[in-house]
This record gives sequence, structure tokens and C-alpha cells, in this order.
Amino acid sequence: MAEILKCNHLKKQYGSFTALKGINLELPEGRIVGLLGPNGSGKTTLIKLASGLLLPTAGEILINGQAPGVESKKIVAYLPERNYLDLSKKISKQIDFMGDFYKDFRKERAYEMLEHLGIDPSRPLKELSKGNREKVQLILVMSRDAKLYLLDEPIGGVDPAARDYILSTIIDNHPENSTVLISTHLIADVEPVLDEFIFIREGEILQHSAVDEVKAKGQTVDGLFREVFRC
Amino acid sequence: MLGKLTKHEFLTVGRLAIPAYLAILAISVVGRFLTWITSRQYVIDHVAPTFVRIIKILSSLISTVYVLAFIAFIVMTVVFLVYRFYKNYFTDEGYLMLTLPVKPASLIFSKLFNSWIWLLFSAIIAVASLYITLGHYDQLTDLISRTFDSVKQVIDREGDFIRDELGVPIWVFVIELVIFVILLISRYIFEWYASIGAGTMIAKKHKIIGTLVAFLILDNISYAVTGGFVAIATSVAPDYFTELSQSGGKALQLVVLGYSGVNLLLAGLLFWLLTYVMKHKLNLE
Repeated sequence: MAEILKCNHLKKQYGSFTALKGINLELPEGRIVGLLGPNGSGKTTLIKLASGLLLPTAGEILINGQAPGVESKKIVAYLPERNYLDLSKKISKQIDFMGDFYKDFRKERAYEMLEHLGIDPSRPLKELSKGNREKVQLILVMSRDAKLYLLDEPIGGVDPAARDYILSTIIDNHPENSTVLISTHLIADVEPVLDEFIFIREGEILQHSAVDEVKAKGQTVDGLFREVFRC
Repeated sequence: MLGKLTKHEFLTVGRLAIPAYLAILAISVVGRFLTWITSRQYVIDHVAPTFVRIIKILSSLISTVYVLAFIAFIVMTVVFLVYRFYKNYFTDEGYLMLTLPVKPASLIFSKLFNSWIWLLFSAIIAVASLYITLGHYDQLTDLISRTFDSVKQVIDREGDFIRDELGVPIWVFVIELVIFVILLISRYIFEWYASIGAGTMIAKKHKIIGTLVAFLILDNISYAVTGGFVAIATSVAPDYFTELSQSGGKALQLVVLGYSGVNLLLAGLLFWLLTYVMKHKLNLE
């Protein structure tokens, strides 16, 4: 299976603080992968490096065999932790914007998901609740037929019902051959949808395994996480 | 992609700028109307003096509001265009804009092109607003056409003399002046953009203060570079410059071309600094 994301001795430093300590990682196509670790473990830094927002201090990160740049951004759909939308815009205008820049953006899918949620696309984003803004942001990301989805804490800070909606949206909308990397510390919630998981702590990868391997041993990823990250 | 970025930025700025343009024109129209009505003899003869006085007070109040709105309009145009750059690329909106499949240069130039367009529109609206406010339309139109005529006459009569003085035909000099203005404005815009980039890099928590400090530093460096070029040029060829200073036209042309060259160089350096920060030192947190 071809690799969609590869890290070779990837290191990132912010001043004297080392966020990633030379990690090696390979993610194949068509997998849903949990990037799991406590706050400050390097999850967001790894995702920012993959999205091209940051440059490595040493080593390399490759997306579909290329360093992050214009070409990789065409196939990567990135959902940051933060609200990145221009709130003065109407939702429909934001959809037009995405459609203009991404060939793989499916407008009809976006409108379908909005209708399902009962959100009027002609409304300005500033009139939406915080929760609905986050859902619109997720809809914009999942309306793309990307090869790699980078989802940074998509279920952090939302109620359990919203978590279910977000996870089902991810599962129902990503193309089969695409890879989804979900960063979170809410292991139990994402565990049912994961094919693989990565445990990361203090900028180092502790474990990268298939979920089935853990299940075969009669364990759960959540249980293993608690064991590995016990304070 | 540059075209798409420019289009979306144009539409976004337009959504906010057009109501501001309409407001300044509306204040101009109301002010002009009040001045006109209180100066009509019929109104003075037939309307109660108290009422005329109230309208006159209103008229002067509107004039004050107009002057304040006019100043705010000019300042806000520049501030708004610079703020758009900051908000789009150096706040949370950067998570979207900087992960679009476009080159950093396209992101920067789309903002620069919009700054040119909206500064031009603002200048047109400012002139239109002054035209409405001042009234005396016949005289103003006459003045404008007479000015154009006299410029044309001067060019017809003195074309050869101007060409000899400047060393180039007048239309070439006009193009040089337009390029000079575009480069000067671009250099200042890049100075602000680079200050935002450098300011947010050095002051992670106080980005606005960092930007202002960076602007003061970069602006002083720009002046020092300009002064340095003048000092080097005059010390390398002092005789040439002494001779040139006695020929007004050619000296003027050299100043325009020389200053354009320095502005192009400075704009290039500032652009490099900005792309470096956006690629290597981005600080969206």
C-alpha cells in the first residue's frame, strides 16, 4: 500500500523547546488513524508540519512523496483546532470560496450536509452558535475528496451528541482510499472508528499499531492509553 | 490562483467599502443641500428666521461631521487595507488562507493589487465628495476644462523645449511619474506588510505593538537606504551632479528615475523579508 504521509527523523524546535524529537512515521492510504497523546505532546505540531504551516527544523515530512507545498495542499484537507472562518461572510459565499480553490470540493455535498443540520446557507457565519460554526467548518473540510484529512481535535470541547455527529460525518464522507489522521485525547470516543493509532508523548512516538492487534489481545486502545500514559 | 485571490479579496473589501463610500457621498449631498437651501432668497424671505437659523446651525454641524468623516475616510481606507492583510494571514484566518494551494507570492500580490484598486477608488470618491460639497459646479467644470486646455497648450507650444529639458518626450515622463507613484505606494504597502510579518514574529503576544515597532525600524532603514544611495551617487560623481543640478528638467527626471529604482529595490527587499517570515517564522498561535 502506498504511503500518503512519511516522516524521516522529523524534528521541530520552537526556540529552546523541542516539540518533535526526530520522529519516523509512515501512514498508508485508506486508513483512519488516531494521533493520541496528552496536551503538549506534539500532535498539533505534526499536523501543522503536514499541512505546510510550519517547516521542519531537521529531517523531512513527505505528503504523497513530496514536501508540503502547493501540490500537497491540493490533496490535503485540514481542520485546525481554531475557528478560521471570516465571520462576516455568508455560509454560501464561504462554499463558493472553497469551490474556487479546491478542484476536489463538492458543493452539492456541502449543501446536503447543511440541509441535514437545518442550517440556512444564506445566513452569515457570525449569526451561528459556536457549535454550528464548528460543524460548518467540518462540513467544508469533509466536502472535499481529499487524499489526506488532517483533523486536529475535531471532537474537543463539544457535547457527546455533537461528537457522534462529527465522527459519523467523517466516516460517511471521506473517500475509501483516503487517509484520515485524527488528533485527540478523547480516546474512547474515536476508538470505534480507528484502523490504526499512534501514541505520542513529549515529541516522541511511543507506539504505532493497528487497532485490531490490540483487540486481539483482549485490550482496548483506551485501556492501553491509560496504562501507557499513567501519571 | 492570483486572479481568484484578488477577486475574493475585492468582493470582501467591497462589501465593507461601498457602504462607507455611499455614506460619505450622502453626507456631502445633505450638507450641500442645507447650504443651498439657506442661501435661497425665497427661503430667507418666506420662512421664519428661527427656522432658517436652525437649518444654518444644522448645516454647519453637517460641515463639521463631513470634515471629520472625510479625514476618517482617508485614514480608515489605509488602515483597513493593512488590517485585512494582518487578519487574513496572521490571525486564525491564516489557518485557512495559508493552507490554500497557492504560492505565498500570490497571497501577497492579491492584497497589493487590491490596495492599489481601493486606494484609487477612495481617491475618486474623495474628489467626487469634494465636488458635491463645494458646489459651484459650472465654475468647477470650467476650471477643470480650462486646466486641461492650458496643459495641452503648454505641451503644444513648449513640447520641444520640455523634451530638451527632460531629455525625453513629455508622455514618457508622465509614464515615469505614474510608475514612480505606483512604486512609492507599493513600497509603503510592503513596508506595512513586512512590519506585520516581522512584528508578529518578534512579539508573539503583543502583535499590534510589535507591528508598530517593526514599522518604525523598517521605515527608518528605508530612509537610510535612500539617503545612502544619494550620498554614494553624489560622492562618486560630484561634478556630474553639480552640472545636473543646474539643469532643472534633467535633474528632476533623474530624481524620479533614481527614486523609482530605490523604491523598487526596497519593495523587493521587503517582499523577500515578508515571504521569509510567512514561510519560515509563521506564528499563528
